[in-house]
Amino acid sequence: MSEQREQFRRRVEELAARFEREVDRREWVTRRYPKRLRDDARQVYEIPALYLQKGPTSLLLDPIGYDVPGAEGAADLYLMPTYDPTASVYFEGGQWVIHYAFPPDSMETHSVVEAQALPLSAETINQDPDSIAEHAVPSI
Amino acid sequence: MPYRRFDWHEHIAEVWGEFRSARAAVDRLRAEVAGTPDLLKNDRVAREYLSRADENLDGTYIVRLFAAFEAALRSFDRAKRSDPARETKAAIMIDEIGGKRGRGIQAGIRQRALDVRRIRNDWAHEEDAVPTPMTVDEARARLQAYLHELPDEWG
Repeated sequence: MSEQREQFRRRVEELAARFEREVDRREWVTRRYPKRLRDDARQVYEIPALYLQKGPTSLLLDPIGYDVPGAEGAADLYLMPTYDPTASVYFEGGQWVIHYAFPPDSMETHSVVEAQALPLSAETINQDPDSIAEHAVPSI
Repeated sequence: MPYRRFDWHEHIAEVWGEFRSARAAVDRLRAEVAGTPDLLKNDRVAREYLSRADENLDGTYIVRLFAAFEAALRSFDRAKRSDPARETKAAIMIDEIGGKRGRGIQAGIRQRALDVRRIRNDWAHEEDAVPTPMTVDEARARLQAYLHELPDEWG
């Protein structure tokens, strides 16, 4: 079993547990779902993805992998069911950091540069889902 | 082992993510070539085809996104009919697949997926007509929204 893969699995477990613990439980319901990934040796392993639901707004915290330039792990936060990207979470400098993405203009075909990065905390965890829920407009 | 809808969503999300990386790479290369015109002097083909790669990148990924979506529908269609060799046209599957409880899928959601299929055809068959504009993000969102209407598992 690759050391990198095992480390990533532990970090994603910790990330999902932090969201579960620190999201405002009076408003958000969470549910884990096992995501299957392949490691460098093409072996399948499972890590938790996490659904977050508040009324009609549904988000998915979706682990992406550990082979990411400039980071030791990445997960995306999508607005469901259209999988619109709202933020990315990177493991950088020994901690999870949340990067807010400007939603791409629906007519924009070229790449968009992200804007703001903040260490993951109870405040940023709640700020992000809440701000998404407040402004949630699926792209279609 | 049953097929999981989640895995098909993830497959489409991965194709879309690859597009975003490819788009960033092409944009960056175009900008660098504009500033340093001899940047690709040792790669004649890459230099000559850079503009076309840029023009066709979105269409290429719409074709790939739709292929992933069609594979999901085919998997569901074959499981539902208990016929592993069944070959149903994509347009028919989009219109006739029954959704979570076999009650059909909302007309608007179906139509948005059919629009992506039409644009996929324009790109895949290299029609003379200019394909109707649709961003890759829009195509991804439409296909994911349709897929969301299928049951959690099948097969």
